[in-house]
Amino acid sequence: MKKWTPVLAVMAALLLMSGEALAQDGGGSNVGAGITMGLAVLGGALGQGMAAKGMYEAVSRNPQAAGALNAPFYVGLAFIESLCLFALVVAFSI
Amino acid sequence: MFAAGFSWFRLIPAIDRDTIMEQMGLMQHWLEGHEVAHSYVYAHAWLACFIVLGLAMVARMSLSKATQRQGLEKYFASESLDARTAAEVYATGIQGMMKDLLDRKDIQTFFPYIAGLFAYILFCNLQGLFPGFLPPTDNINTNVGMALGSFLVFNYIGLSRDAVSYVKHLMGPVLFLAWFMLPVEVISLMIRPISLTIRLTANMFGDHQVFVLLSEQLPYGVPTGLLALATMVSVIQAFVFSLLTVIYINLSLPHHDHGDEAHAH
Repeated sequence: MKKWTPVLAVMAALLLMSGEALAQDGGGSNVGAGITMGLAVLGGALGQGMAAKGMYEAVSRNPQAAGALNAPFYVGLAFIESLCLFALVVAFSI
Repeated sequence: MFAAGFSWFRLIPAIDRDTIMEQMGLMQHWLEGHEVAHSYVYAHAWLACFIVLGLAMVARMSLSKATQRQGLEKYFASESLDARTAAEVYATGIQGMMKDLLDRKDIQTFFPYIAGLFAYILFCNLQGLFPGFLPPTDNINTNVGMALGSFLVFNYIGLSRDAVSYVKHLMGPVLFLAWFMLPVEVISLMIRPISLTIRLTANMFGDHQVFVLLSEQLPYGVPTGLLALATMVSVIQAFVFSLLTVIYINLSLPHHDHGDEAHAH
């Protein structure tokens, strides 16, 4: 429970404040698009961080593999990033 | 997504036809409230086509001239970087990409399509880096065409080589799950061209928009460092599109089940 306290606190804050945030009458501002893109980038950044972590560990164990691992690393990053960009499409449609 | 902007091709009134028609009130909007794709996108696509075809023709003529040399000199490579050497390096690179996934006869069958796709997408994406040009791939229409082409290619190969095993593969491993597996697999088959399209469109569109927004905030000429990232994204997205097409072709080909491998060696 102690480990999950920050996460639960953020979730409670979001739930309590979201109603008021979406009821704002800001002319031209778009909260939905911001939240969509923000959540997508959260998951995408974590995924790309894990890919980079795997790459660094592999290169540090075997420095000669750096040349062979270079291209698949960038391809993997592109796949993860494309999932964030699906959310960008949704954010622009809102 | 239909991005618009300035382009050198829009100075020609014949190419800027859609903007002129909108100003004269003759445009029929079939998507209410949305922008439509403008006609100058096609001029950029044709420019990319002409660049690819021009380079290919120059490389081919240079190769023909080189193979007409006498004796052992026929097999020498040229020493400087001309179109023939670049085309040879490019062809070796594309074949290296396909080598793990397809066997030799299939590489020769699909090489024109994959190599042409990669070169066309590459030169389309790279047009966005030059001031005054727009990448035609930031418009969804260009990418839908290419993704439908890839969709038709891998379905045609699957159905023409062995239609029964292609459909049976979609039904999953066990027979009594087929009522559930078949719709799921068909949906995942349909989502492949959609994801190819949206990946390329959103990458190019988002890249360009980030550059535009940063240029509004920062002084003139400061965001030029982003062009390095844009180059990398352009090349990588062209590579990812063609690599995914090769992977989908590999998945559609009739491959042996696990039971056959015991007999092979």
